[in-house]
Amino acid sequence: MKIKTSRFGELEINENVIFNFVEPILGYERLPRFILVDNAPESPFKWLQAVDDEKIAFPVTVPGYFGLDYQFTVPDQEAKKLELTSSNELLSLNIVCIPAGKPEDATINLLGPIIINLINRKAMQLVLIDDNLPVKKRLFAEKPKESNTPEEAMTKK
Amino acid sequence: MLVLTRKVGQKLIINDNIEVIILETKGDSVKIGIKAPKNVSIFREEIYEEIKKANLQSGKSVMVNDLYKAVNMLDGNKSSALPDLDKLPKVVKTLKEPGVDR
Repeated sequence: MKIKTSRFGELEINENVIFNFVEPILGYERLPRFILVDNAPESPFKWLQAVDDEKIAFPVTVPGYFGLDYQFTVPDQEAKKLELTSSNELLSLNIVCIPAGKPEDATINLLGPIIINLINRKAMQLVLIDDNLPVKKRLFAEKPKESNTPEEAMTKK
Repeated sequence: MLVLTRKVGQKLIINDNIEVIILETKGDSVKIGIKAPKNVSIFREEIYEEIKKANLQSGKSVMVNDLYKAVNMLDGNKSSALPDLDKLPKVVKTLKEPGVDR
């Protein structure tokens, strides 16, 4: 089938690449179908593109690539929704937010990972219980602010 | 919406198997205890709202151009292999002119 996308043009896809969100990505209840688009194989970022709305696509990645130590448990009732029977079937991705024109301020959402069952392609956005996980974790270190004078630089500590 | 007033120590029973109890009040805060079966999810509303907001920002406004710039900021030594992602079915589409959005 053909789908339209605003970033990648028209794509010819097979039904079996479509992820069906049994519970929606929060804020996108009207869009249950997504595909993963790889438009730069050398890049750690891929795109989760909505099948039914050409304008909606999320940049996604795996936190491990950025040196982030990240793990979580999928609660039983959520695992049931995806019909997960073993952790080998599970894959997770995290949504990245890049403020317009400011890639250095890119952040990743660690509190709400996207989890996918590789076998049946059911998916959902899992909201983790751990309050300490940030919704906006910086991917790149913050640059220290430049000070005007050497004296100011000394006192800024 | 059902509106009820409760005193500290009083409970509400929902659906036969969910119990809400008012534990303490302090100033304008209320401490609430909830007993519910494992299959019932309970979240603070602001967590949901925060995730929703981040999703909305990300889904609409990130342009391919900005993403390319982010990739360029990465340490050249890292291998860009993401073995986990290779297990997922995906559609490969390389743009002829990188960063050009329609």
